[in-house]
Amino acid sequence: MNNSKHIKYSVDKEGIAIVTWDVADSPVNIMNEVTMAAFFSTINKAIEDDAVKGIVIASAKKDFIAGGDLKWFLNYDKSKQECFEMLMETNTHLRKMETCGKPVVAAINGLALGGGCEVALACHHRIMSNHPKSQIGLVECSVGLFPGAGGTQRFLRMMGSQKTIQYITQSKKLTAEQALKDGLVDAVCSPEDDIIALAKNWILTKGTWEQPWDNKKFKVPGTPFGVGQVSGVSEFFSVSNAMAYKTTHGNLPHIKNVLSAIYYGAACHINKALEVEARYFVDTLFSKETKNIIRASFLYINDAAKGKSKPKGYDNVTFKKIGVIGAGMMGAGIAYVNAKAGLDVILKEVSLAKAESGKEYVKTQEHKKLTNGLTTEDKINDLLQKIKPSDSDTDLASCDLVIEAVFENEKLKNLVTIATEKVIHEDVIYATNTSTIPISKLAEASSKPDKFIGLHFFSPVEKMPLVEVIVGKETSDKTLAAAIDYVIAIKKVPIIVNDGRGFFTSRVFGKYINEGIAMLTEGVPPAVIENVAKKIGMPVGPLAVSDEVNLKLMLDIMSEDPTLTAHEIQLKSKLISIIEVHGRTGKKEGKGFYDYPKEGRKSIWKEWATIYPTQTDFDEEEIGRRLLFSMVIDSYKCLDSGVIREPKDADVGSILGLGFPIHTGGVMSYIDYVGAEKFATYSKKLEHKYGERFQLPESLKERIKAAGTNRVFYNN
Amino acid sequence: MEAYIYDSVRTPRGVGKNTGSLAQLSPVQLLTTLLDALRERNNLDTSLVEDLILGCVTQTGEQGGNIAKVAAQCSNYGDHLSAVTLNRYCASGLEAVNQAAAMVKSGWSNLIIAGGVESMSRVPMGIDGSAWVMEPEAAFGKFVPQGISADLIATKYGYSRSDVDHFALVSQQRAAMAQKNGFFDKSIIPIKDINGLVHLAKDEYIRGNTTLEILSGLSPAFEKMGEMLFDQTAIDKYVEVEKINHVHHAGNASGIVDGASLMLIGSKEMGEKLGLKPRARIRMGAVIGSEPLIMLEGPIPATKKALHKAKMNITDIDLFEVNEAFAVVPLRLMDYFNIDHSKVNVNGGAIAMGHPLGATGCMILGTALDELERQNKSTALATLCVGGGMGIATIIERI
Repeated sequence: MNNSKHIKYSVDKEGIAIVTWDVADSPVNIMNEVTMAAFFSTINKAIEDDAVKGIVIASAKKDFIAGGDLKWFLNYDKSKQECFEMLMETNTHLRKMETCGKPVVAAINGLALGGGCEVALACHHRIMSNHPKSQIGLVECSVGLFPGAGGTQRFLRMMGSQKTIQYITQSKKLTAEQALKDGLVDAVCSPEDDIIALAKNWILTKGTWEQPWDNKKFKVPGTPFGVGQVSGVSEFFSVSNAMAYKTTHGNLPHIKNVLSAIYYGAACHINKALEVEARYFVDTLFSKETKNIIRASFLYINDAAKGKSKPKGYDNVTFKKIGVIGAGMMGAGIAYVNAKAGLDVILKEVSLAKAESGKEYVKTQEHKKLTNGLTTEDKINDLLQKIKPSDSDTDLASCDLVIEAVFENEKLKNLVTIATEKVIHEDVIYATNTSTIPISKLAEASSKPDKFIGLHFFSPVEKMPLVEVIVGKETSDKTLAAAIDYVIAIKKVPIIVNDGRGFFTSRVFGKYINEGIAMLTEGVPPAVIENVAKKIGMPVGPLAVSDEVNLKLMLDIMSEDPTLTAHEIQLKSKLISIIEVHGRTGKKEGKGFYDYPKEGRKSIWKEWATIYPTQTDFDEEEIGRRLLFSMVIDSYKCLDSGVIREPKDADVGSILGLGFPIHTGGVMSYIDYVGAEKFATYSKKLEHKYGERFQLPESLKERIKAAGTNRVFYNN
Repeated sequence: MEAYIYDSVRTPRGVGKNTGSLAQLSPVQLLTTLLDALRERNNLDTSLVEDLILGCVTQTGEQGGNIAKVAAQCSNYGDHLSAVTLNRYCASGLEAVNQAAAMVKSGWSNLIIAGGVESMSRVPMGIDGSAWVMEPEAAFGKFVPQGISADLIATKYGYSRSDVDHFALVSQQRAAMAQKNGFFDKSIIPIKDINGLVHLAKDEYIRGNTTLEILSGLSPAFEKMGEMLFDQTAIDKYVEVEKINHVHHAGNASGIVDGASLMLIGSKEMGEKLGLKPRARIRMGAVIGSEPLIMLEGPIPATKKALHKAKMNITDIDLFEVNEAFAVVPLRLMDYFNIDHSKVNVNGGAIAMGHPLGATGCMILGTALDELERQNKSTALATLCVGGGMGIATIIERI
């Protein structure tokens, strides 16, 4: 038998060639130049061997084929022409395979996502194992790309434009049963079945070798006269454009490009359609937005989620039982995510009734999921059993880790620290969930400050993936390492933040809100502020965020901050006037920058135009840049002063914690996204117009200067 | 040289559904009826007619190809008659008139029939598709349906639901009154069947009995679609708009109807040769392009341009016809130029009578001409907002 390092090959006595993916030194069958070349040369061998009647493509790993190597895409350094030719070479090979006159079957034994799905689509028949973890789908859009090995065009020709656009833009993964229903796979088997035998059997009994799109009479489903000819089709494309724009504001080139590839490709013969896909793929791959998304999501967020920032030299610590003190919104949410991750939880409150109400929150959330068919009664019962409400400190004695999540009140927190430390084991880490109070200050109440750490969860805890792990002055590396292990165990993404006022995310987000309020007081129409914020990719406008946080709380935080700048002191007096003269505070009171009617949606308070007479002329670009620059510059100051240890932590934290637009790569990448020199020039302009908060720290100026035409942060 | 209108005819407007009175007739039949009428009314030597220029928006199916030439072939005007069909969306009928006038004024032609046709019951609007609405390059982040644009204008300039409903009510009342008094009879050619029996002799879309209560009870037509899909595209372009106020609905927007209209346009010498008396001079025609997303703001700059080119002022115009694509369009024009409603759409408009896309421009110019004669006034301006962001205006003056 002829085996390559990555692709195994055998031909049985009935003339069935088995082409088995088994990429060496890798847990998954990754697609890259080397493995693809080996695959295609093996397929060629099968095609050219007259003894071979049919071909089965299989995997020796737990999953089928895992798709392309994103790191390779990120660092792609060849020309657009070469990239196009590379894609067309893959297309040519896959076309050769599907027109070779021999039936080809994909034996999909596990995950077939992205490129793996695309190889399967170029087969004549697909059998998929219905193992609960088996999924198939074109998921490239989730990392800023789109299918580039014929996926858009074959999908389109199998399922029509509507499902194709929906599934591809949403990176939808299908179970075997769903895929069968949609016609994406032809047969489903159980994990116990011999999938290769089933594949062989299909070749020997049915074995056809014409793709539907190679039939002269073929039409793309739903386009009997070609795209653009029929009312229903034009309406559909009109809707899909609007829908995609609504969610992306046009900030993500890969989404528009995938729509284009599908739209323009639909009218073409498959060979030309594959060219269309390749052209738009090249444009996408070379866009800075796509590189930013790959870097941020695939590299940095993934790395952070795997705990790569954990201090070296510490063994993995496992956790079984967690104590959560305080069963309010945060405490209940923390208990919830722990239980979901399979950990036992003691949910402790001052009274059993209060503790029970925290558990009730979890129950309510789970029942919502049940209504939507996302869980079962049994699963809910298992989950709820993990949470034990308690009103006694002694119940915390058996916990491996304690998280205090009581009110943001220093005295109260200190009392809890002292009481809890009395009962817990001396090796147990004591974490406090706070968004504002410095950890080192809180640690003063602790008898074991080396075991004392901050875990800043975001609300709602079950939805927000980020946890800021806050290191106090005396927090030990061992404690930090274990805390990282814990955050990973509950499937959250940790970033390490050194102690400081507002830590990282709260502090930086404060600048965003402040800038929004400052613009309002200058007379920028509030609708403009909010709309521009969303248009540039922020999920919520600064004024709406302020209403959620509440001006009173923001004023309290400002009042406790001895480091306010002149601009901030001025802003503070404006906040006081907004609160005291105009009675506007936030959503809680129903009166913030918005009005919150009992029925119907919130709307911007009409009086702002009178209080701060509105400018009719406004510079949309400047408004957007003020909002983002204010966060970016402050983030850099966090990096500069050591609050943040590495630029990538700021990028991850800003994307996951603040909703900073991912197409920019995050707060640090943003500087290179704008272009470092342009960023510096624009900052200077803003500094002249609006003050020192837009002044770049000297070290950043130097870095920008030193970078020249290169990137300031990261090579790619 | 000058271009004169010698005659103007139109069909009554039938409801543009398969239950409408004109759904039985093809758009070609509507046109041949009018061509016959022009010949008979004017005892016209058809061999002198040089060209037939027609506006038609949805040029597919039986309106596809070059429908003007099919109508020419089916008329008894003779094989010499050439024909062209054009599409400037809702301005098509008026564009045909302007082009004919320009040809005559330049001396390239002496006698042309211009007008337009649209059978919205038989060839539904939008069935021809368009890159504008679906091709990502043209549509992504750029296209919103007209109703959203109209609602955006209303929001931007602060027209309330009550403002647009009031306007719609007046349109209905004026149209019903004008119909009752026979003000449209001069131009309307009853549509007859193969036996000579009348299909339709009057506009059938008018609801003269409607009330503000009825209108205020209608649900906004574009709210759901806007909130689900298109409002965000509009707001990203017009960031000063917090939320689009969806004020337009079936009762304060133009009706979907079938209809056709024609004008006989020629030089002075040609009129003398034919023994026809000119009814009006076409003083100026103008088109402009405007921002495509808000789309319907074209009438104001088009009106300005036509007036400027004609060396006239807004106060020189006695009567205005502003197509009621959506109530906000004439409202905005009146407010912008400070024109009293008593000079605008005095016999109602498309909200009451309907808007047969390709035909409307020529139709409202004809309505203006009839009304000038009835009131014994001199000048009129017809203007329409146009899909994709355009505006058109034409000024006529009685002799």
